[in-house]
Amino acid sequence: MSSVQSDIADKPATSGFATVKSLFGKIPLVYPLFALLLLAAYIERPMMLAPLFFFTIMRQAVPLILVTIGQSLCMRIRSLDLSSGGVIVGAAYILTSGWIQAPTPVLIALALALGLAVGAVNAWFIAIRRSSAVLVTLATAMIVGGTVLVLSGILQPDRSPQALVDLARFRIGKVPMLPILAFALAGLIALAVRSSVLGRYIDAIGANPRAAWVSGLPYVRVVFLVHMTSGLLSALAAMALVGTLGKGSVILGQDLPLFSLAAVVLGGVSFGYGKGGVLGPVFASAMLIFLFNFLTAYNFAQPVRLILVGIVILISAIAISHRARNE
Amino acid sequence: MKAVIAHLSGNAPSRRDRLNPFVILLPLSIAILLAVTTADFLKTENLLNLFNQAAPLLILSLGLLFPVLTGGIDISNGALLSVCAGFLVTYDTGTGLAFAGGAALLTGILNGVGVALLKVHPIVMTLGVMIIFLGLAPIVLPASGGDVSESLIYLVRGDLFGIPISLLWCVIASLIVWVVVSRSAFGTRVYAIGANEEAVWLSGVNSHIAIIMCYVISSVSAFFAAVYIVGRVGSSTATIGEPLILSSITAVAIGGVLLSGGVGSVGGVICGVTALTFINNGMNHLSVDPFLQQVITGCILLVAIGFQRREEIGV
Repeated sequence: MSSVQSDIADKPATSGFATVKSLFGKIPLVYPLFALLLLAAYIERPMMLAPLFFFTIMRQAVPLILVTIGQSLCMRIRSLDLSSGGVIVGAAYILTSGWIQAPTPVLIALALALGLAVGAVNAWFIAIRRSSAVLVTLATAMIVGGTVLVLSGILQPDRSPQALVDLARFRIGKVPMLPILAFALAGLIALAVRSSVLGRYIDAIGANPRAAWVSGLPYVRVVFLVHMTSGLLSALAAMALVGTLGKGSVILGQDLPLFSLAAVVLGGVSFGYGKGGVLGPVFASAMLIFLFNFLTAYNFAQPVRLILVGIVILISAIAISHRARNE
Repeated sequence: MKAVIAHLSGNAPSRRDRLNPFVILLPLSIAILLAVTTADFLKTENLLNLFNQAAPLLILSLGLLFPVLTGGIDISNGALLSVCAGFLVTYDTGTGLAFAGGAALLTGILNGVGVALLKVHPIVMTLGVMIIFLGLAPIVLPASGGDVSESLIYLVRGDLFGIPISLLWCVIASLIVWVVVSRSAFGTRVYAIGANEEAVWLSGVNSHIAIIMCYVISSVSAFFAAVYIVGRVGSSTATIGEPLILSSITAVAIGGVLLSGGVGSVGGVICGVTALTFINNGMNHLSVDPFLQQVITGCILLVAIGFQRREEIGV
């Protein structure tokens, strides 16, 4: 008891600076970075913050946001999903090629079923066969993407179903509905992960998969749930893409898996490290797309934009790693 | 047969080279299948051409073996290869080699320091570097083409006492890596780090230096693969190395190298690269749609990794 008292007595009074430091130490890096970017845009390119412009940029971010949510859940259980590119191309093909002649709701159901099926296959190999998540999801992406390329030799992707185009372009006043729906979905998933038992399982598996397995946690069930959710979200991203563009393509969303990885890291989540929660990666996705548009406004060419994004990813990854070690 | 049954049932004894029957039988069975189904597969011209196709993938995969053995991965080497190739076709031979070699060395050191000292996850670290190089490649080489010196072309397309130099590239690269991995103290250290890095560190071995060296070797392999491709093709594009990222990871995985580290061998990588090269070559002979080749390669990868159940759970 006395030692505790002496500890308390020895502890210096917390200064204002230390309080601010400890407060910011807990906030994922993406929030101050995004705030800085918005401030820079406010000073240099205020037009970008006009509601019409801003929400149009956010609509561009929706596919990345959806893929990133799935990726962040996978990374929290020390897994990975590189199959989202394949799922997006596959789902877009189902929706736009006319290969399956069916009403739009049936096509949507089939696209979502593809995402779930790919997620289940990934999970089976990862959880049951304990295969490498990188290799499994890479292989399923190759299989689905290659199948679409073979089929597109017979029947090319074409126009999107009108219902999806209408949904993607629907606005309330100047605000498009698509980003609002995406942020609402992200909020719901964040709430579910934060307040449910599943969230605790995810954290436990992320902290130590072997310990979670040995202690009887439903490891297999959680891996299936997470990967199937990721597949489902990739299919939703495909719907958002074909709705926004108005047509399908066999190269749709090919860079999304890698950029989702980057967004997850920027958002304060890494393999088995989930401090950024669900919303950190979501804001990081929005920030990356805003950053791309901001650099475009300065007439930076695509290669320079890639270099800058790569540097931002490296700096953030180093900062997160440093923070994780300190914790 | 007993070994096959034991392996498939998951009761095979654990070996660090992981040269299990599946790894060896896969390229053999593909070769037998192709010899039976195609007329040209066994022709000398085709067999020599196989070395031309396999050499850059083999060099890159042998380099990738090092970070993978430590439990890491390097996904930046395909984009680095594009940048190196860009330097080689843009500048004269000496300057190009100096720039490309310097870029490879610096990249390896950057990746290694990030992974070993700053403790950034290897996928994330090499992803960041890869994105930077994806941007840098079109700046170094804005349009496809470029000039390649005759000496560089001879270094790849020529022959020595009737032996194609491409065959020598494959043999020399495999021998050097085999000696380093299987017959040197450094190789033992690399396996030990992959098995348990903390234990290696606690036993007084500076694992950081070894990990940095592994990433340097991986990047230097991208430099040599770039030299080979540029000499063979005679020009370059800003995306010339991109397909090789997936292929090298696939070859390493089919070769029984575990991405969790500590298990794998040069023999396995050679088997993996041979299997992939046979598949591509055979399907070209059978006039299979190139996109269908992608599907078949994906299926083979899935089956290969499905058969190799790991102790580890994770990435």
